[in-house]
Amino acid sequence: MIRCMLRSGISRSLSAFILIFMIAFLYIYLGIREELKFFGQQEKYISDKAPTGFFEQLTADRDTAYTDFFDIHINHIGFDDGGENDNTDPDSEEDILDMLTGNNKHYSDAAILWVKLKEAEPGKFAATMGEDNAFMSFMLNAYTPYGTLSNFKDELIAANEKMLKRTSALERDRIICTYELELLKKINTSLDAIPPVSGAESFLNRFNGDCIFIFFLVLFCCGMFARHRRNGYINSIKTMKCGLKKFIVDQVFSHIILFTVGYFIYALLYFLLMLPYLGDFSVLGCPIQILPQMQFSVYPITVGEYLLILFGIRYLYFLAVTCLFGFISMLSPHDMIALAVSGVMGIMPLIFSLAEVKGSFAEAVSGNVTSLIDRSDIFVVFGAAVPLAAVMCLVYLAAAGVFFLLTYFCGIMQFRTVRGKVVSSVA
Amino acid sequence: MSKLEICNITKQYKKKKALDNVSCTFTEGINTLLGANGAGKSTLMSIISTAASPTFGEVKLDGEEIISLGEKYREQMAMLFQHQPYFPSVKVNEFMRYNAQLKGISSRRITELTEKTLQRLGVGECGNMKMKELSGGMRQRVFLAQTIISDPKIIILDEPSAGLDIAERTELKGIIKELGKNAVVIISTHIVSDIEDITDRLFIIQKGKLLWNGNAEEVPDNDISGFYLKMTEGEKP
Repeated sequence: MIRCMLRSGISRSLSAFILIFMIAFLYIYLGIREELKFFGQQEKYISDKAPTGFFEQLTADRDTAYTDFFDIHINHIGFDDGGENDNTDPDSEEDILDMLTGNNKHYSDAAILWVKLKEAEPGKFAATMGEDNAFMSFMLNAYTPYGTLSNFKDELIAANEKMLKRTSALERDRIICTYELELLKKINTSLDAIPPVSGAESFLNRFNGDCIFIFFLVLFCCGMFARHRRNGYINSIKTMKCGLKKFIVDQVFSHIILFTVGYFIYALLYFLLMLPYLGDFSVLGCPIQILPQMQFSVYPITVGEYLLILFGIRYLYFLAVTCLFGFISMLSPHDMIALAVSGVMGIMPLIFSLAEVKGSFAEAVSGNVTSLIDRSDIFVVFGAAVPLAAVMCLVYLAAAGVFFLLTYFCGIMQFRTVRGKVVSSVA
Repeated sequence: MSKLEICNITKQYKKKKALDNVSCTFTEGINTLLGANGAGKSTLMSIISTAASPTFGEVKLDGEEIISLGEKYREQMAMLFQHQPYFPSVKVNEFMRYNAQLKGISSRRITELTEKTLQRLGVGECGNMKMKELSGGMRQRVFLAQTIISDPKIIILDEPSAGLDIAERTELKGIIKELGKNAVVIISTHIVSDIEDITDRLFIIQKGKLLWNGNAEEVPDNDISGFYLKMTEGEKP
């Protein structure tokens, strides 16, 4: 019977998919086209070294792995301040780090941040995240797209120039300021102009695209049971061999199968849209460290695995939404009621995403969580995404319940079935 | 020979008792439930078809309770509702296929059975027409076709001739008579002419109570109408 239901569902799902995807395609394409140009700039940062070689070295020797893999490398011009307290070897990185950040309280937090970012390596970064919660929080807020490199660069330049202008500045401070100003010239901030593909802002762009995909589910699922109820089929099905229970199970399964196919096509088209900007399929085998927001990640997963996780999480989210809309269809006496209620539910994520750029809650949910996802391993990804999807499902259920009760009790939408009136004549 | 026993069936709604302690037996042939609108015919048929459940009592097929038989009972039973559900924009063949699959007929046999059944009921050429394009009589025949496609042993027809003209009713009568040769056919109607000459057993229901049941030959002068009026006025033969 599932094949019968699949056959009857294909035409409806196809027309809904074509309609919705045309809208989503335009939105996604226009939305990500600019941001994906970003990847083109990243290509120069990748060497000819094979990703597998990079992964092997990553756990054994992080320093060499990064040095060999990424072409871009800020060479530190070491110097010895010659001061009486200087007991370190010249040009040592510990020396520079200490001088730049240690006891020097004239610099702003931005300056300290920049130095720590510049000097950060995967192991150190991870250690920092674990040990210094305040710093981690500051970094997460600062290094998301809400704070751009240009702003920090300007702030650092201003701080250094101000220091140089002071007549009372120490010689050591002047040397450090000059050194920093030279380094700041090398920073490429043109990337700020393009929203990154990962991170809070990118999450928003993709989230809005996904919101449109939800309307495909609205059109597709509204008739799951409501159509049969409207035509009076439910009682008829009770009398047939399959029975109501089997009918419900088969109907849900057939819709899940069709949804999975639809989502697979959607994800594939989405990826094919991204591909011209990524280069070619070989980028799927590259480590996620080539992504700008993932460069500090300590975990050896590839871009392909990363995309798989993201699309996988989204699939689970949409699966929950499918079940919810099916539930609404089951309760609705008419498919137009199911369409209306599901449609309102489908708009909610869009409202959420519009409101999410404002307010601390929005930032906490979208900014920090997504940044956490960007920087963490697979388990943390699921750990962050699953509660979020669960929360959204609960919100959906609650709102659907309220709306349905309102509709039911107000009697706004009352539809007659095809049964019509009872014959009343007597022979 | 199949036997369907109705044992003390009562159906109570909040303010109304639709059926009151009804007991009878349906056997092979044409079993007619005769009664006015609201008498309880459709309620009884819904209970027999498992579309509804009784408040008290049970229905047994050859001694076994139909609820416990479950799928095995539904496999042998088919019901034609007074307002049979259908999807108006669907073609006749698709409608037949969909219902056949719900009845558990295998895909391999559906096409052959659909053609055969539609031909048998004289609507073989309507396969590619949409359900909404059919006339009332043709649509009713298609409904009847989907009812008997699985060759059921128990056929329940709720007001099968409602909405049909005289010619169509006469044709339908002939078809139903044929069905009664190999199955327990239970028809409900309030139009006597639909069932006279074909009915084997008669069951008269009024206000949820079974007033009389017996063989059609027992009706005096074969005047079912007169007999019905007498029964419902409180006089017994």
